[in-house]
Amino acid sequence: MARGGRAIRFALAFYTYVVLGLLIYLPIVILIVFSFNDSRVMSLPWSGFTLKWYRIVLQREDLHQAIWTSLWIATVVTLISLVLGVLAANAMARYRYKGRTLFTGYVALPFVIPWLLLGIALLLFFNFLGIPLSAWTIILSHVTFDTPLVAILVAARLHQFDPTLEDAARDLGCTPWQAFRYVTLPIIAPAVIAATIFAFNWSFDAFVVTHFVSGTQVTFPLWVWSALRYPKNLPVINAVSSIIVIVEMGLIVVAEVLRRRGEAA
Amino acid sequence: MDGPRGGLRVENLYKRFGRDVAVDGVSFDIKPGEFFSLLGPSGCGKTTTLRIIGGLLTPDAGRVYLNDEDITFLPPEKRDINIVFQHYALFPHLTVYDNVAFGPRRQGWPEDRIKAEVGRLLEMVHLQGYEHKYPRELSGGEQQRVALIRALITRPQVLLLDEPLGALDLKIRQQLQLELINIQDAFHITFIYVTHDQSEALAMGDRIAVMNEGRILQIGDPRTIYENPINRFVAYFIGNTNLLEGRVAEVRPGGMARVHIPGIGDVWGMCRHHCERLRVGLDVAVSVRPEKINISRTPPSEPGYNTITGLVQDIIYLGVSIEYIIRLEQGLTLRVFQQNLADDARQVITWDEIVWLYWLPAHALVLID
Repeated sequence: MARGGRAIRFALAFYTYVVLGLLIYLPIVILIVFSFNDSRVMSLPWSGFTLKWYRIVLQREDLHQAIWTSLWIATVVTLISLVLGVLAANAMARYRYKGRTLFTGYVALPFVIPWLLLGIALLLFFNFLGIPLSAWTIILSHVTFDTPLVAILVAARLHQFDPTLEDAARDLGCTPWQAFRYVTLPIIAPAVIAATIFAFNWSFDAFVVTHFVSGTQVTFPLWVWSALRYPKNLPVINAVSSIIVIVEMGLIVVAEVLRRRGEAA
Repeated sequence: MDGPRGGLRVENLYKRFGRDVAVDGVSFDIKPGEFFSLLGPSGCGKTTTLRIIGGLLTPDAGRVYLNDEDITFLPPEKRDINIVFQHYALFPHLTVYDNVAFGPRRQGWPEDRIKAEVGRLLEMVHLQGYEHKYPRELSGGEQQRVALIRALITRPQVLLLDEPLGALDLKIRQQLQLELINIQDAFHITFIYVTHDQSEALAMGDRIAVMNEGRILQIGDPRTIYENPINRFVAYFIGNTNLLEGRVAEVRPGGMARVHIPGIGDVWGMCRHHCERLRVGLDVAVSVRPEKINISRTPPSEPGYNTITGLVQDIIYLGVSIEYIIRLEQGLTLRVFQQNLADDARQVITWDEIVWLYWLPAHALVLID
């Protein structure tokens, strides 16, 4: 048993550090390393350390504009999806009614439809209704997949929530809204925070769906896509991508710390 | 304050869930400061009744009055009634202090008053120094005490307790029973105590309402409920009893009746409820409590007893008493309790002995329903 246990532990360690490490983190590490390489060609040998790609990142107005567009769109999308998603999660997890399973499936549907089909469907939909493509069609489109994301993450937590706690809050003098605000929300907060970060990232990173419904708007992924057509832009993309990766990883670490603090409390 | 507060009356409560009738015409009237127990098996509608009184459920029909004011449709946060929940329902994200302070904060107490009062109540239930602990760090009994003072701190007129001791082990339960009674005395708050444990209801209640299948079968003080059960269900549910099914053979004025029990013969019993229906030929049950039956190797020396003989099938040593299972004719058995007196030791009754059983007609109840 002990020897078998050791073999299994070794296999798991190998899998975790080597397989997952190589698959997930090596490409990112290479990306970051080459963002400091003084060459337009992303290949060895190493041509020397430089910060000039980062200087170009700081100078490109079009890039700043694209990041700004993505940031504010992701913010609006996250806020809308949080409200809709938390409400949907309540409907999925808390109440029993006819068609609840159907509703759950219906909420999760955008989640499982391929991005490409979702993008095409949304484009046709907007055309059909004669809605001109703009930042708002992007927002609407992102909400269609961010809402289910929030709903599913929050519903998972709500399933474990003891509804008697809300009864107790009502009994001790809370209105229904106060009971949600002082009891339910703090208890599901870790899931809501996680959902916020994921929803923001999904919107910020969304390329396929955005590509169909953006009109003349340029979000950050669309900027990267168009910049990629010119190989000379590659090191700049490396540099800005490195920044984004670091910021996003930082956000997730912060969220995780917050979540753990919330659980310890 | 004008007059005693905390009188609670419910009239003809009725509540259905889908096709199941949970509460079917429940009425009672509770005096201010009374300790009222709602007793019944699980699923009998007692918790539903409690939730209607607390405002967490709205009845399909019927009314709830607090001090003669109709509160049937008042939301729970506006009722001066608090609940101690079955599984405590302490807020897991809040400390003991914040849990207890929850109600006062909603009522806008100043923080220094909250602090003083929480400290005082924690001391009362022997939890001083627990302010900064979280519910999951407490034992079941400690959580129960926190739940109790959380509901008490704002001095509601009525406190509803939903099987508050159900999940605790016997020793802690008995200790908390005493504490609850003392607290109720000290606070003069009306208690409505839901339980399925008949010994708890007998020990704690000023009055007991016995419920089954959504209806109240009998309301009375513990002695009345125990000594004068209204029907077979109450007799059987409260305490232990021997129910002998038979047919009325003779009726005398004053409720005395002779009942023929197949395999045993005729026994005399008293009818105390619905006796106007008593007549020869009616199917009835005779209920005899095990502790009212005398067991002996010899027949009774005086007349006036119901007397039968049987075979000792089992002896169960309970410490304070000894329980005998006596086999009669036709597969009937009777349970008999004898107090465990030390001087019995020399002539103890043993297995497979033929013994005499006798009891007074006044201790045999003729139950029609």
